[in-house]
Order: sequence, then structure tokens, then C-alpha cells
Amino acid sequence: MNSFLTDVFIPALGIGALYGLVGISFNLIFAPAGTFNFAQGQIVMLGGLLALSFYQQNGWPVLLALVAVMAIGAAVALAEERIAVWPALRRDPHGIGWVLSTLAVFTIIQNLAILQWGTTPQNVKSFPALSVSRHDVFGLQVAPYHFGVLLIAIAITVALYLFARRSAIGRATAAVAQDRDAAALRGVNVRLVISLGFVMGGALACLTGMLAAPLTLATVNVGLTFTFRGFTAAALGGMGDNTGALTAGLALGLMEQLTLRYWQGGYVNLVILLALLGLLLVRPEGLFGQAVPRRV
Amino acid sequence: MSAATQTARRPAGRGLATVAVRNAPLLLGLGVLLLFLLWTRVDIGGNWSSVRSKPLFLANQLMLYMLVAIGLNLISGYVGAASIGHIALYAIGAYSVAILTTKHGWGFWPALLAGGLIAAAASLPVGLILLRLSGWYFSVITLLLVVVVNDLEIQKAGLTGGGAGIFGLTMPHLFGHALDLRGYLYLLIAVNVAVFLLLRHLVERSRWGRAFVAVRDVEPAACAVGVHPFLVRESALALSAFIAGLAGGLFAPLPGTINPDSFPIIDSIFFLLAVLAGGFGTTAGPVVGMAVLFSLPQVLAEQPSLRRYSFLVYGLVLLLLVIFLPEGIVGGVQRLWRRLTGRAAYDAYEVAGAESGADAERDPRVAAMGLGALATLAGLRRLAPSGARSGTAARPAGASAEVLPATPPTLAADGAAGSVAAAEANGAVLSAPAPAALRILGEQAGTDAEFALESIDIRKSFGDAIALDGVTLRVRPGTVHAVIGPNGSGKTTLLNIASGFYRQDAGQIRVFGRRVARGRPYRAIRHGLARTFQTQQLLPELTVLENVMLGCHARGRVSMLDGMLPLPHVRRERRRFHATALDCLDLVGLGRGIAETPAGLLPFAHQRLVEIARALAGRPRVLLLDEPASGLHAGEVQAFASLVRSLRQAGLTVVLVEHNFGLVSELADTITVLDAGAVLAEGDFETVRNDPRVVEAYLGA
Repeated sequence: MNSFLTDVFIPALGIGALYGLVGISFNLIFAPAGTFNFAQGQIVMLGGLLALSFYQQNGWPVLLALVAVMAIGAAVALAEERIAVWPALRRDPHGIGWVLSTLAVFTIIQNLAILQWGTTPQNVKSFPALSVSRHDVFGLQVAPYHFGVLLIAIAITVALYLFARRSAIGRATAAVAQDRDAAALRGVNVRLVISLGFVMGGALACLTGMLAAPLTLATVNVGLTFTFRGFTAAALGGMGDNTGALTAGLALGLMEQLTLRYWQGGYVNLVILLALLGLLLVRPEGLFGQAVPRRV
Repeated sequence: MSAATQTARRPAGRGLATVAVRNAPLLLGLGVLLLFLLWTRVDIGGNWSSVRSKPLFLANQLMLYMLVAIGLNLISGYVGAASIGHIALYAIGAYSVAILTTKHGWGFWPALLAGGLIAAAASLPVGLILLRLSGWYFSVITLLLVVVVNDLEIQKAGLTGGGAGIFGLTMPHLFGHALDLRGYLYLLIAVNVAVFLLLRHLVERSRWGRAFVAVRDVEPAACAVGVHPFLVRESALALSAFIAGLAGGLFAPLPGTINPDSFPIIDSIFFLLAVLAGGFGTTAGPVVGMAVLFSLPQVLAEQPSLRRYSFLVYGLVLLLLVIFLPEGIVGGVQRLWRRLTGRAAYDAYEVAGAESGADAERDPRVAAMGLGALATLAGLRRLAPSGARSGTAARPAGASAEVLPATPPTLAADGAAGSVAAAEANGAVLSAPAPAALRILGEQAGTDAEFALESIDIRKSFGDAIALDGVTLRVRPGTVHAVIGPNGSGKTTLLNIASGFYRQDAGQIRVFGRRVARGRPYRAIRHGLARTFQTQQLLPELTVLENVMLGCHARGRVSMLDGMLPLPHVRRERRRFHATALDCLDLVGLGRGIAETPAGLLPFAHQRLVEIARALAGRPRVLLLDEPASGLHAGEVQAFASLVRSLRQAGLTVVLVEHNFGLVSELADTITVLDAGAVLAEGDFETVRNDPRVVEAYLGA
């Protein structure tokens, strides 16, 4: 039982929290823009590699590195929104234009990252108080990392909840998410709200990448995995629902750890895809989302 | 009879010249291939079977990718669901052939067929996502499919050879001869041409082409004419996946060995890139796009200095295309062609109809500038049942005098009088539909059910809000029944439930006594129930005729497989739809003259009429109209009223959800007043108008 706790359950919390955070970063973009960012996993990947450069190789203080990583993530996402998403979205919000243009950004970031960092995975040392090596905690041999990441994820979810409820821009985002035209008529600057969604989503994605780096290694190959897991968390939780995304992310972490332990690593993606397909068929709005009546 | 109408009458477009023009891109492509083959024969000498004869190997590869692109265009271009998973389907086809031939002793050809079928089967669970979720979910899931298939290739080493892959595939035999690279290329060209022609026939000659585009762009309208959106998407996906699997299976023997690295995810993006470059949703798009772009990866791979930038180049090209040329090369050329050739009616329509025609009747300033008469003239021509298109170009409008009103349009000198004249003219034309046109409503008689449409104790709530609280409504056959009420009273909800778009919480809908299943909008037309929508639901790029022919869908029998072949019954069905659609245009008073005009160019009021024509093309027994008069001006409302009267005369039952009290008072035999989700009053106009509760609800006394 103890080994289940230390080898499966607690690592699942940490990894699941990371998936939940990527899911939330998808939500931050999806809510105002109604688009799914296919390049989001690449921004997560960028976060890990930037952490490698700033924190590991250049020895910046962790907070400075964190701010720089988040700023770059925000800038990349904003540039993506301005150059790739908005032109396609403005022309046809229901077409496949933005799917293709965010895919384009996916390949561009991938290539630039390979040019800059190469393809060899590299180790990133743990951040203070987030050690990935095991210590004795309450008599269990576990890494503090998993608890730390979980706490950060919960804090971010709560902060975003308060931001959405209390701040004017948060309420404007909710209005745009519900009905873009009506929000525009009531004086909400839709363009700004969408841009802000990308800025926040990009910053959070990069932050998640940095948090993940000590665990996953910094490598150009993690992008697709995070897109996979992050989307699954967001879709299972109900697109736009941050608490749902975090909960679903934790469930995914557990599913992954169980598959690793009782089956084989090569089947993790298969198991998750089947679970996702099965659930979406029964509840298209996700576990916690609300059914939206179709407009005619 | 104008030339355009005559062409329209001859849908098959026989004649050697026509066939040659229609197939010009195909012939051109085959010509280029022929030159290539001659060149390689000179260049390479006898050593064709060697994989090292690079041009031939690449030509084979090009044909395979083109095949995938042609299939990809079906699901991503016509049906509008972008698949990033086609490389996975291609891989499934390749692995199926490799495993079946090397490990189970199958022959190549049965294994190839199995590969296509397995890929199609693998696509079905992924397509299930389209049942209830929008297209981008599908795109993400297809991306995940690539990851999972790649995992399985590595993981199931016993089956797939793991990372090393499968070796020792040999080139197949055909008619007892082992195919070399050149022979294989001939085969692949033949497969490409066949698939291209089959899909083109499906899209351009059968009812399914219109259904695809309708599902993509106007799903509610697609449902209303009897298209099942999910089945259409799922079948198109399966067909597309079959083609991708076939291409993958054909690929396997070429290198002789396949492994997970043979199918990188970037190839999926490359397929999309090529189709985008050619033009999504155009028949020639994938061929042109792949021909133009195929050299790109080769060039990038050959140059060591460029190899590192290949993803970057793909990404940038993709991005630039999405932003600057979203319709692709073929789409762009088509648009240019339309502009340049400027078919007479099209131009006349664009200038006189779309701009001054619609505006001048409203805007006194334009009328004062002397354009009113022109606008009126254009309006009359548009409403004339025949000869309209030639009238604008060469002949005076009076040529179709038998249907034009006595008032000469030139007398309408000032704008206001012009409008009145137009209104009268509309009335004159519309109140006397050609006897031939009424044919399509001929099946109305001979029903003995007491009510055409019954809604029995319908209840519906959205969350906490109760929209309908037990509404019972009975519509007598052959009457015009209006449903009115303040905003939010539940009129449109009731209509959406009656037509199956919303699922009621309780209660029944019956059409001529037969119970209608809940929440199945694509079934309504089979019960004889057609509807229109508050917002425009036309396909603006398609011609008026094609839009109306979409309305015939439910009366078609041609399956998707038959639709790919030039079979007699496919041609017969098309002719039948064609004739019905023309009759419907006559019936609503638009006339046949505008049949070939793109629907998006019509003024608003005429688009409305096209929608009604499309609803009538399904030969309904009950027609539900959702606020048909909103946005129409007085003259157009009168024309519309005459149309409804003539439909009733012909025996059709009309249910009218409407705000315009004047129109309702004039038209309706029975009026039901809804308020706050319940029936407030019912009866003829006088009864309802004098009901104190109605007065209160409307005037807020």
C-alpha cells in the first residue's frame, strides 16, 4: 500500500497538476477566442528549454528566470495571436483557417527550438523547495516536488477564479466567452480580451514548462505530449472550466501512473485517447461542463 | 429561351468540346506526366527496377501523396473537418499490407484492399467525435491518433517489428508480370485518375456534393432538407480514410521496408499544406497543390544547408497561405475567372441587383438620382419566370411579356412610384404561378387526417427558464396558421421543437397523425415538414439552382457509392432534381432566369424566396416559416403574402411564426397567441384582436 502511495498516487498528483495547468492554459485562450491553440504544447516545451538556458546554464536567480520565461511565453503567444490567429479568425470563426495557422506556428516553434537547443534532452536541476529527489515526509519516501506543483496549480486555479469573478477584465472575458457580438455591443473591447487570453495562456504554458523541466528533462520532444495531455484535461474537465481541467488533469496523472505500473509505458497515450473518446461520446460537454443548447 | 437556361436544361453537358474543357486540368496533368515518362526513359536507361532511379521513385511517391491529398480534400475541404491524422491512416494501410503479405502469406492485392478497409475502420471511432462536437475537436483527436498509432508501431513489436520495422516487401505482380518502378507508376497514375474521377462525380453530379458543403457551412439547413450531418461526415471520413489507407498500402512495397520513421507527423501537415495551396473544397485543388509543392521537401532534403530549416519553411508557407491565399491557387483562379469572364447576367446582377436594386427601393436619395427606375426594372426582370438573363444582355425585358404586368416599368419614373409598381408587379407575378410549377404541390390532396400538424402539451425548459409550459396547437390542413406573441413567448422554441431541432421535455408532435421522433431535425422532411430560418441559411457560392436542388435531398435515392459512378439512375435523379428546382423557382416567383446566379449575389428579399423555394423542393405538406417578413419592406411583404396565398390555394399547410401583425391579419386563417410559454388565445383575427388578454400582453395596458 505504501509503495502504491509513494510510487503511483503521489507522483500522479504532481504530474497531473502539470497536465491540469496546461489544460487551464488552453482554457485561457479558448474562453475568449473560441480557438484551440495547436502550438500550445510547443510553448510549454519552450518554457522548459528557456529554464535550461536562464536558470541552469546562466545561473539566473529562480524568480528572475521565472519572470523572463513567463514574459517570453506571453510574447510568443501574443505574436501568434496577432499574426496567425486573428487574421484567420476574423475571416471565418468557424472555418479551419485558425486550425492550420496554429499548426503552422507549431512547426515553426519546433524548428526554431531545434536550431537553438538541439534534440538532446538535458537535465534541469530542481528549483528550491521543489526537489525531485525523495525525502522522508511524514514517514513516506516522496519527492516534495509533487506536492509543490500541486499547491502551485491550486493557487493558480484559485487566483484565476478570483480574477474572473472580481476584476472588470475577467468579467469582460466571461462576457466575450458567452456571446462575442453581444459583448462587443455592450462596449467590451473583444480584440483586447482575446489578446489578453493569449498573453495569459502563453505565460501559464511557459511557466508550466519550467515547472515540468526538472521532471521531464528539457527537450524539444515534449511539446506534443503536453498538447495531448493538456487538451485531454481541458476537454474532460469541460472546455473553459479551470477547476474541471485541474481535476481532470489529476485524473489523467493517475491514469498514466497506473498504466505505467500495471501495463506498459507505450500504452499510456492509447489508454488516455480511449478514455477521452469514450467520455466525450457520453458527455460532449466534459465531466464538469454545462450542456449548451444548439442555436438555430 | 436564353442560352443560359438551355445549358441549365442540359445538365449532362454532352459534346466532345464540353468534355474536353471540363477535363482540361486532368488532360494537362496527364500530358505533363507523359512528358516526364518519356524523359525518364531517355534519362535512366534500362535500370528501372532499381530504387536508385530517383526520378521514378519520386514520381511514384508524388502519385501516392496526391492520392492522399485527393482523399483528404473530401473530409477537410468539402465536409470542413480538418484531419491532421491522415499520415496515421496512411501508416495503417502500409503496415496492414506489410504484415499481411510478409507474415500471413496474403497476396498483395487482397492485402491492399484490406489495408484500405482497416484504415477506414480505424477512422470510424475518431469520427464519432463529430457526432456531437465541432470540427476542431476532430482535428485535435486526429492529431492524437497519429501519436497513438506511432506508439503502437513501436510497442507492438511482435506485429510491426517495433522500431526496426518490417523488411522484405516485394513489388507486386500484375497479370503475371512483376511490376518495376515504371510499371508501378502507370498503375498509380491510373489509380489517381480513377479516384479523382470517382470523387469528382460524387461531388459534382450527385446529391452528396451539395450535402457535404451544406453540412460544412449551413448545418441547420442541411438538417432541414433531410441530410443527417453525422452520417454524412462519418461516411466522408471513412471514404477519405480508405483512400489514405490504399495509398499507404501501395507505398509499402516501394521502399521494400517500412518502420515508424517512414510516417512522420510532419507529413500530415504537409498533406494539409498541399491541399490548402491548391484550394480546399475544389476538385482540382489537391492535385494542383501537391504538384506545386511536392518538390519542396525534396529540395529541402537535398540541400544540407536547408535541411535544418525544413519545418520552418513548411510552417511559414502554411502561415502565409492561410493569411494571404486561404482559397488556394484553384480557388483564386476560379474567383479571377468569374470576375474576368463576367457572365452577362452575373455582372448585370451585381451592379443593378445587389447594389441599387436592394438599396434604391429603400433609399430615397438613390431614387432621386434616377436610379429608381433602373432598380425597378432590375426587380421586374429578376421576377420574370424566364428570359431574364438574356433580357439584361441583349433583349428588352418585354420579351417575356406574357408574365410581365401591364404597367410598363419605364413609367415608374420616380422612386416611390417605382417601389409601388414593383410591389404590384411582384403581386401580379406571384399570384399566378405557372400551372406547371404547381405540379410540385400536386401531392397535397387525398389526406384524411384531421390535423396537418399537432403539438400536444409540449413542455421545454432551458436550465431554470421555462420556455414552453404545456403548449397544445392544432393546425388544420390547407390553412395558414399564424403563431404570434411577444419576444420570448416561445414561438421560435415551439417551431424548433416541431421541426426536431430542439428536444422537448414532454409532449408530442404529430404530422398528419404520425408521431415525429424528438430531436431529429433530419427526419422532419420525411414526415412532410419543411422549414425556413430567421437568419439566412443559403450557400452563397453555389448557384440559386444548386441551393434549391439541395432541398430535394430527402427525395433522392442515390447512395454515396452509386454517386461516384456515372450510372443511369444517378443521371435520372439529377434531372429530376433539376426540373423540380426550376419549378420551385417559378413557384416562388423568382423565375428560371436567375438559376445560374450565385445565391450570395441576390438581394435579401430574393434570398428569402430562394430559401422558401428550397423548402418547397422537398415537396412538404406542411411549411413552417420563421419570421419570413422580417427585414422585408412593404412591397416585398405584399409579394410574400401573395405567394403564401397561392401556396394555400394549392393545398399546402403553412405555419407562420411572425411579428408583423399586419401580415398576419391579412393572411392567417387561424392565429395562436403565445405568451410566456403558454397559449393565450386562439381563433381568427377578429377573435384574437378583441381578446382582452391579448390586448394586455401586446399593449401592456
